[in-house]
Amino acid sequence: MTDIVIVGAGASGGAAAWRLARAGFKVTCLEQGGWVAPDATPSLHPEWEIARQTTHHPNPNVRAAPQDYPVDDSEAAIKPFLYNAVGGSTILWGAHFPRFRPSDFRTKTLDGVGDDWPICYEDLAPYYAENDRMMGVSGLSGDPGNPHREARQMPPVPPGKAGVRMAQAFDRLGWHWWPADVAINTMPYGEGRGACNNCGPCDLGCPHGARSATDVSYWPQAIAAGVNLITGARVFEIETDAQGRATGVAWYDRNGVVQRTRAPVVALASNGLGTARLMLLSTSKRFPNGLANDTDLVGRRLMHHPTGMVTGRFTEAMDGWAGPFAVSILSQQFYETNPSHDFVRGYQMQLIRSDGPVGTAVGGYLPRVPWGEGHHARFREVFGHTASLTVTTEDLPRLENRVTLSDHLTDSDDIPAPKITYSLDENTKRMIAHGIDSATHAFTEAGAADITAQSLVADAGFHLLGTACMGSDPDASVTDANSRAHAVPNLLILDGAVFTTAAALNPTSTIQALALRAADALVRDRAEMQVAS
Amino acid sequence: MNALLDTMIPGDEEFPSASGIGLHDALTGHDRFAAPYAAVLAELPEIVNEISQADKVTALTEIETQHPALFNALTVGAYSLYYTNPQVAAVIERLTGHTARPPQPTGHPLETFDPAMVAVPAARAPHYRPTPEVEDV
Repeated sequence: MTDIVIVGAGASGGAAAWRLARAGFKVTCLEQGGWVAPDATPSLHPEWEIARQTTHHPNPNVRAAPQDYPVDDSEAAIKPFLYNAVGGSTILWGAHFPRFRPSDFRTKTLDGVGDDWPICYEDLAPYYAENDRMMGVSGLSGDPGNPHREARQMPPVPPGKAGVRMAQAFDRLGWHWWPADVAINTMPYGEGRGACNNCGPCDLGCPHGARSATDVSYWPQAIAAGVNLITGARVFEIETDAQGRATGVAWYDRNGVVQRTRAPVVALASNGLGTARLMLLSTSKRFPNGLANDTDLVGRRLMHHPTGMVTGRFTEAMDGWAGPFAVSILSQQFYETNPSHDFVRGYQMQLIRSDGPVGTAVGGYLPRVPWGEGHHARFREVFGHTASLTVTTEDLPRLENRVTLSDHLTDSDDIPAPKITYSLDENTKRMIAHGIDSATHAFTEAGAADITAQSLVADAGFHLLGTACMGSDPDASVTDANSRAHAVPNLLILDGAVFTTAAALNPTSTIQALALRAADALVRDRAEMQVAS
Repeated sequence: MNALLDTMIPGDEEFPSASGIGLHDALTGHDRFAAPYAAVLAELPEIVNEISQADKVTALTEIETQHPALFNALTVGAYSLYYTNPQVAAVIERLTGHTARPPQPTGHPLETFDPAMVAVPAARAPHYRPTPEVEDV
């Protein structure tokens, strides 16, 4: 029998599987998607931008691939953005790789909002470093916005013309900025992974393996260490005994046949949406409201990173279609709470390059190029001439933002789909408004010819956090500091569901560091763990 | 139906019109875009080819207003197929330098990062907020 079954082979599942297998555990990982071949990337084909609108769209409701499950987002201000495959959503991410700041773990103590994490930055620091080594990070030491840490594996990605322009503007304004930490190779790094060739659409995959994703970083090493990875395995229930201890999982194979994998320890790594769905599906006499849901917190406290967007158009060509689209430089000038603001906590501004011809015309960073007589004139004005600053805000946890089970949508195996109920609070709206003013000021300083703002990017549900939160108090949280469910001692939650608060930056490096830490705790504590007999 | 598409994407001195690249056939034959295209066509007056250009614009605007999701799907399809057409890609390359080939496997030159550019921010004092637990790690 396997020692542990992990559900999900994405950012956290890959990291934990590798760590546990290296420690001698027999690991089985079940993934509903399959492998994505490096040479299957649409960016090798002339129709690459059509794929972004169809088969590789980040919203599973639009993409509608066989391995996807639908998401009821009828009451969600922010739409889901995820992928189901070995590698999970790192298959289509931009590989932005910042760490949390120390204050992100102490929002209650410092600012009286949210909750403190049961761990601190220092607890995670060695795991951040280990994870950086595994994923491969390009970046630069010396950022005054973050604690000092070790050198990255590779030098930073060049910022591009717009990045240089905006950095100079930030300098004149006296604002913080720094080259972004990114999980993209600027030189060959890792097993068989080459260097970035500046192509642009990282989200469509990287045939050189330069953009890191767990299918090219953790998984080859995890499999070499003995992990049994089963693809096309759609888990629909975590099974338990009469005492509520996990006994394994039930899943559909590709032929729709029910299979069961028994294991003394079960770990969920299906992101904050899929994990909450699975826990809510797993009802029993002991847990009538869903697994480990005595507190009614499973699915609640859903956090994203509500994102505003400001785009500057320059009269000179910026050639922003070249270079990793999501990464250049960032500013954390307004990251921390400031009493002069009309909101608590803060936001990050991250410079985004521009888009290809279809993306420019269809719109995203800018409104759609209008159809009709002026179409080509507007296209000429904007194509390759823009850059954007995202305003990435800290989303404080609220019980009413939640994942439940849809009462009418199911996936192809007839499993109820998740439903997202989500709205923005006034603090977030004020934060976005401040961020839009700040980004507009920066573009003005940089000499942009005109500036356009979006108060909320709807297609930005890429960070799914908080739906099985970590905490010290079993009555006010779902897992303990080691990501183990308070109510189910042999259940681990490894993905972003455990986030106590969300910070105001991309979470993947923190998700993976937490997964590595949880794996180490399991190795240490396994002998004392209560498991099903 | 070229009248509809040419109203949306007319040609000019450099860019071909929608009909100039055969956009009608491309939309009709596309597995995801054919349905919204057909649905928009069904909403148009039967005599759309005979009405004035101004009336064509009015007719399309009405559909865009009354059926925004449907019109959005058509616009995404029309723009996607237009801007991936080789003739159009060649025009864009000539005008901007954006190559008409796919992004991979060639990519674009990757310059070397110049550390001198961080001289100003590197000289700033730490401005993250300390917490009791944090040490340099």
